[in-house]
Amino acid sequence: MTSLGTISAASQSRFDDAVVAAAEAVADAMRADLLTQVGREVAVVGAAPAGAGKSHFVSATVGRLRAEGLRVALVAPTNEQVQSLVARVKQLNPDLPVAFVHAHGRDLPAATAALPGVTQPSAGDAQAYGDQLVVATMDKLADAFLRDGLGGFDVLVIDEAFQADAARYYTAASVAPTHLLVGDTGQLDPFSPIDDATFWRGGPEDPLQTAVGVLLRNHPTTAVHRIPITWRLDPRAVPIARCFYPAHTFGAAIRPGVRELRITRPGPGSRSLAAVDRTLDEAATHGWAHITLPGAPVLTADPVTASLIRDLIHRLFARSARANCENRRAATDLRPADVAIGVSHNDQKDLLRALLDEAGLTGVTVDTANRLQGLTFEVVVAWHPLAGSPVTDAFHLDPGRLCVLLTRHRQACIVVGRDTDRALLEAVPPATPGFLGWDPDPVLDGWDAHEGVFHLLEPHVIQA
Amino acid sequence: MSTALEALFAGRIYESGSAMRRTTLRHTHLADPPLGIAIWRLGGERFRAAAIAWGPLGGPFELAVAGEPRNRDLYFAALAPFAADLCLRVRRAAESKVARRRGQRTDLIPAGALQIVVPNRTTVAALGLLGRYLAYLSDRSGVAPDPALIEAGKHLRFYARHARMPGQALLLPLDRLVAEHWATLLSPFEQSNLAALDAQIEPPAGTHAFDASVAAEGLARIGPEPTEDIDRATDALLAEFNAARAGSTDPAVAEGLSRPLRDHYRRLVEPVWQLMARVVTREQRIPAAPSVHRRFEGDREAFGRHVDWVADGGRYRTTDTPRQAAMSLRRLEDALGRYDAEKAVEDMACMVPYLLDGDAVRGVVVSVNEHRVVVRVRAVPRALMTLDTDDPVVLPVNKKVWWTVTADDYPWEVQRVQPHGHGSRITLMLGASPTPARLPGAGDRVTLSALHTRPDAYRLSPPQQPPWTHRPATPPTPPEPIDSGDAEAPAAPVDGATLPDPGRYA
Amino acid sequence: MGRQHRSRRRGRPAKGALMSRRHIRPDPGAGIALEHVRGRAPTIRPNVRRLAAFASVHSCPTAVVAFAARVDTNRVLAGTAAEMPYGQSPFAIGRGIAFEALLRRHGHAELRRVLTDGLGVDFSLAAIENLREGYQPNRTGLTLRASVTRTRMAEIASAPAEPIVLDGAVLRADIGGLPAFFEADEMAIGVGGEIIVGENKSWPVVDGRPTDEEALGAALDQAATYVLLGRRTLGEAGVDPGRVSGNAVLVTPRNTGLAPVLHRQNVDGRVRRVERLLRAVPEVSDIAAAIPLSVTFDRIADVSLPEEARFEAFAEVTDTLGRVYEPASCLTSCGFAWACRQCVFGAGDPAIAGGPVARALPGVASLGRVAELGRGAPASAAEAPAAVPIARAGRLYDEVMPASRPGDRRSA
Repeated sequence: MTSLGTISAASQSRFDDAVVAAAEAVADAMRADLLTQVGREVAVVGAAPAGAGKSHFVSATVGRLRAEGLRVALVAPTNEQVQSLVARVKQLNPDLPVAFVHAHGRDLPAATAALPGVTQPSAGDAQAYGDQLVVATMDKLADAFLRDGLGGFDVLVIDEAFQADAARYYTAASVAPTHLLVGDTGQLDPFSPIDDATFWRGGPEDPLQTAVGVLLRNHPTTAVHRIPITWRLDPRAVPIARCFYPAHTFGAAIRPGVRELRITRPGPGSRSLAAVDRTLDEAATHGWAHITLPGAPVLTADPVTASLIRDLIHRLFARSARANCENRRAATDLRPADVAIGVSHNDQKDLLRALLDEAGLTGVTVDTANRLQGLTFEVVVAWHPLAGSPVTDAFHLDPGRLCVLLTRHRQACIVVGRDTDRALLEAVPPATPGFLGWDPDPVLDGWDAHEGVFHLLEPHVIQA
Repeated sequence: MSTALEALFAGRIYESGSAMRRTTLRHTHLADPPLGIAIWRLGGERFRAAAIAWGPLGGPFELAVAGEPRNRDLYFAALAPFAADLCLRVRRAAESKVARRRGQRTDLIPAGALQIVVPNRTTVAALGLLGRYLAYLSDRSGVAPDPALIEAGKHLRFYARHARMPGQALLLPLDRLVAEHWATLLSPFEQSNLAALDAQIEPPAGTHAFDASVAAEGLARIGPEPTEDIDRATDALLAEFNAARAGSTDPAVAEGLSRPLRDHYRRLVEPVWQLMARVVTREQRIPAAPSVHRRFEGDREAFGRHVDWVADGGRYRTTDTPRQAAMSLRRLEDALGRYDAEKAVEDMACMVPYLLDGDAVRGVVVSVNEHRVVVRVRAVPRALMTLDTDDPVVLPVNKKVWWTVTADDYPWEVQRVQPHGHGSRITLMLGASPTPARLPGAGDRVTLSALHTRPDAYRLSPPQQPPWTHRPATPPTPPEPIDSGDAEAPAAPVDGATLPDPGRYA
Repeated sequence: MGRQHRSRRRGRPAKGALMSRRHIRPDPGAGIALEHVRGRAPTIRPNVRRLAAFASVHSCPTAVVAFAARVDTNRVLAGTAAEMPYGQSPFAIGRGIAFEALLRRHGHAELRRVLTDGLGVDFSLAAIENLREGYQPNRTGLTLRASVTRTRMAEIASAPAEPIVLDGAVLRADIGGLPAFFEADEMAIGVGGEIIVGENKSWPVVDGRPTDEEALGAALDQAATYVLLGRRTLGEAGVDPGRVSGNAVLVTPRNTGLAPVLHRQNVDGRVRRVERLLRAVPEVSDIAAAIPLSVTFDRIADVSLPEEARFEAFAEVTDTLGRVYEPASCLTSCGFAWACRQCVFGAGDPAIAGGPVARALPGVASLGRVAELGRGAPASAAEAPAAVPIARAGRLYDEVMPASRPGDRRSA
C-alpha cells in the first residue's frame, strides 16, 4: 500500500528517509485512528504544511477505506480541487470506480472523465445505485444531500479543510458519522465579501470559522495529527515556510541537491539587465532571491515593478533555464507552464498579463494568491504584498497571502519588492479589534511572519 | 477598489468646492415620509435612552424623556407612548396585503412597510441594543412588563438585524445613504458625521465644502452618545430632577418635574431632526432606480413575516444557531452581489469603478453575426459580436460577461482579444439562441460586465438538526436575563474635571 | 515639488536620532530643552492610554516630539476653533467608578466571586492586598507602590502558595528614558503557579459579545502592556518572566446593570506589539538634541494671542518638524488633528481624503493637479502611472454625468 509518496529503490538516496518515515508514521497513525473509529461520530484531523502531499495522502487513504468496504464521500471546497482529486484517486487506485457528482456545466475535463471507472452520475443516481466512492464539491454534496438524499456514507473525507468554512461544513457533515479532515493551516482563511463578516466571530455559531475550527471548538478532544513533511519544498525553502507554521515542525522529503535549476546561458546580457541576471543566478543557486527596487511612492499596480518581473521571466527563458529533480532522469528545459507569478491584486495581475502576452509569454501563469492556493510550479516570482506600500494593513499583512506566494515552488522563488518594504515592519503594528473567544490576530500573526521572512531573505537581496 | 475614481473625486471637489454625485439615480427606497427616530443615550449607558424623538420626517417630532432613565419604572413609563406608537405604525403598515407571484407560487405580502430613518449607523446599533433589552424584559416581583414594550423591542431588534442586508431600506442610516450617493472630501472615518456630509453637499455660497464641514463638525451634536458638555448639562438637570422627585416613581410626578430635561433634549434633537429631513428631501428628488422596487419588495416580505411571527406570539433567539448563521451569511452574500450588480447595470455612474478595474468593458459594436456551433451533437444558432473598446482590455478567453441590457439573461463568452487602436477589439459569443432582444445593433455603444442580475438559484435550507460537529459536547448554560441589573441604584455621575485621570474610565 | 513633500523632510529629526539606544541617566540638558519646547503648553504624564494613542501616530514627527515633551495635545489648542472635543460624559465616568467600587465592596466580594468562577480557583479566602490606599496620589506614591509591587510579585511568584490578589499593582516602565508608571486593575497570583493580569471595563458584554470590538481590542492592549511590564519586573527580580500568563483577564458587566463577569483572552501577540511600541518611543535626550531651537508649542498654547496667530504658530512648528496626517488614526488619537487637517487642506495634500486616495497618487503633488489630470492634462514622467487611470476616470465620469463640469460650484 502506498503512503505519502512513491519511492523506487533506485531513487531512495534522493529522499530523506528519516523525514519520509516520520511522515509515513503519522499517516499510518491517522489511518489507524480513523479505521478504529469508523461508525462513531468522531473526526480525525490532519494539519499539513504546504506541499505535504495532502491530496496524495487523501487519495491513497480513500483507496484504503474502500478496500475495507466502506462507503466514502470525498469533498473539497472548489471545483478545481475536486477535479484534480478524481485524477489523483485514479492515479493511485487505477481499478477503483469513482462517481463524480457535479453542478451543471462543471463536468470533468475530458481526459479525466475518460479514465476507466470514472462516472458522472446525477446525485439521485449516485444514491440509487449506491456508488461507493462519490467525489464532489462541499456545496454540491450538501445540495445533493438535501435535494436528492445523497447520504448514508461511512466516512466523509474533506481535503483543504482549513479553507472550508463552518457554514459549508454544516450540511455536508450530515452525510457520514465519521470524518477525516485534512488541510493546510498556513494558507488563506475562509473569506466573505460582506461588510460585517466579523459579526459572529468568536461565537460558536460563526459560519466563517474553518471547518476544523468549529469541530475543535465543539469537540476539543479530537485528534489533530501534524504531518511533518513537505514534498514540494526542498530544504532551502523550508526555513522560510516555517515562518507560517509556528507550532508545526516539518522537514523536506527531498534531499539537498536533488532539485536543481540551471541557468545555462551566462549573464549579464547588458548593464541594464545586470541586476536581473544576478537575481536569476542567486535564485538558481540558493532557491531564493529578493530583488529590491529603490523605495518610492508607487501605485499598487506599479508599472516599473511589473516590467521588472516581465524582464525576470523573459531572461529566465532567454538564458535557457533547465530543471532537474527526483521525477526526471535528466535536466529538462523549463517551460512557460512551469512558471507562475503570484500577486495580491487583480490590477497587478491584469498589468502583468498584458506585459507577458506582449512579450510572447502567454503560457506563464499570473494570478492572485487566492487563486494560486494548492497549486505547484517549478519557479515562482512573488510580487511582495507590501511592495512600495507606505503603510501596513490587515490585507497586506495577512500571513496566508504571503504563505501561498512563497510555497508554490519546487525549484526557486524570486521575491520582488522595494528596499523600503522591510522598514515598514520596524514601525508598530496597527491597532486591532478584539473578539471574545477568538485568539488569532491576523495582523499580529502576519507581522511576525513577514518579519521572519525578510530576515531569512536578507542574504539573498539584490538591489535593482 | 477603484481608488482612481476616489482620487478623481477628491481632486475635483477640492477644485470646485462642493461635493459630487456618485450616482445618477437613487438606489434606496425612500418613503414619503419615512418615520424618523433620533435618540440620545445617557453617557456610558448602552441600554438607556435618555431621550427618544420620533415621528414622520418633515413634521414635528414627539419626544419621550424619562427624566431618570436608569429607574425602570420611570424609564418604561416614558417609553410606553413610543412603544405603543411604534407598534401601531408597524401593524398598520402590515395590514393591507398584495399578491406576489414567484414562479408557481403566489404569496400575500404587505403592500408597504414601515421605513425608519436614523441619522447614523451608531443609532442602528443603539436601537438594536434597546430592542435586545425590551424584547426580553422579565417580570419584576410578579409584575409583567408592558406588552407594548416587549413588542416594540421585538420590532426594533428585527429592524436592526435586517439593517445588515445590503440594499435594504427598512432601517436606513442616513450617513450611509448619503455616502453611497455622494462623493465628498471626507475620509471614510469622517463620513459617519451626517452634518459634515450634508455641509459638503450644499456649502453656503462662497464657502468651500471643506470649510463648511469643519464648521458643521464643530457645531454638530448628533448622538446617540452624548459629549461631555451635553452630559454636564444633563447631570445638573438630572440632579435637580432626582432631588425634586425625592424617590417618587409616579409618572405624573415625573412628568411635572421633567420639563427642563425635556427642553434640554428638545434643543438637542431639533437640529438633528431638521438635518435628517433636509437630507431625505434632497435624496427624494432624485429618481429611483428600477430595482429599488424589487429590493423593497424583499423588505416588505421580510417585514410581513416578522409582523405575522410577532402577532402569533413568536419569539426570537438572542443569538443565531449555526444553521441560522450559515443561512444568514449566504443570504447576505447573495444580496450584496445582487445589489452591486443592479446598481452598476442600471446606473452608468456606478459602472465606472468596474470599467476602471477591468471588470467591465465599454465600446462600439462593430458587427453582430449569427453563428452556428456544435453543442454536444447538434448545431445550434449562436451570435458572434465584435466590439471595439475605448481602452485596452485584459479579459481572459472564455470569461463570461453580460450586456447591461440583458444582465438578467445569458452571458457572452470572450473568444478573442486583440489590440486595436487605443483600445482592444474583442470577439464574444452569446451563450444562448440569438433572439433580437439579446442582440445589440452595429454601431451601438454598449457596456458588458462580469455583473449579472439573474436571480440566484434557490438555496435549500440546511437541516434543522445540527450535525454532531456543530453541537457542543456539553450544552451551553442558558443566558441570564438581560435586565437583571435594572434594580440596581444608578451610579453617581462624576465630572472628569474633578479627577486626575478621567481617561482610565473610558 | 509639492509643499507636502517638503514639509515632511525639512527639519525632520534624523531617524537615527529618534531611534538610538537608551541612556541610563536622564540628561538634564534634555530636560531644559524640552521645557523650552513645551513652553506654557499643558502637559500630561504618559500612561497606558497615551501610549496607545501614540501607537496610532508614531510615524508623525510632530506627534513624536509632543509625546516626548509630555505635551497634552488635547489642550494645547484650547479656546480655538481647532480644539477637539475629548472629554467623557460624567455618567460614563461615574459608571466606571461605580463598577470599580462594586468590585471592591464588602472585602472585594464581587471580585473574589468573579475570579473564582472565571479562573476555577477559590479566591473566597484569598488575601487581597490593596496597593491604592495609604499612598499619595503623586509621583512619590507611585514610585513606592511600584517598589512594593515588585517586591510582592517576586516574593509571591517564587513561592506560590494560596491565591493572592494585588489590587492596584503599579508597574514601572521607561518611556523614552523617563520613568512612567502603569496601574494594573488587578493582578491575580497563585493560579496554578501563574500570575494573571486583569483589567476592568464598565462597558457591557451582551450575549458573549462586547458592544464595541475596537474598545475590546484597546482593553486587551492595555492588559498586554501590564503583562509585558509584569514580565520585565519579574525578570529584574530574577524570577522567570514566563510566570506572568499570556492569558489576561477582562472583567466587565454583563447585560444591564453592573454585575461583573470574567473573560479570558490570549494577548501574546499584543504583548509583542507593545514591546515594539516601547522600542519605538524615542529617547527624550535624542529628541531634545535634534529639535531646532525655533520649535516650541508655547505660542500655540498662548490663550492671550488671537486665534490666527496661534494657528500660524502651529503651522510653522509642524512645517518645521513635519506632519504625517492619516484621518482615521489622527482624528481618534491626537488633539492636533483638526489643526493638522487644516494645514493639509491648505496644501492641497491628498492625505486629506485618507490613505487609499493618497496611495493612488504617487508623484502627483496636490489635489489641484489631480483635477487637471482628470481633465486629461498632459502628465509628467513622474505623474504618468497615476495620471492614466485618473484621466480615464475623468473621461468615464464625464461621459455618464454630462451635467457636471469641473469648476461648477454646485454639481447635480
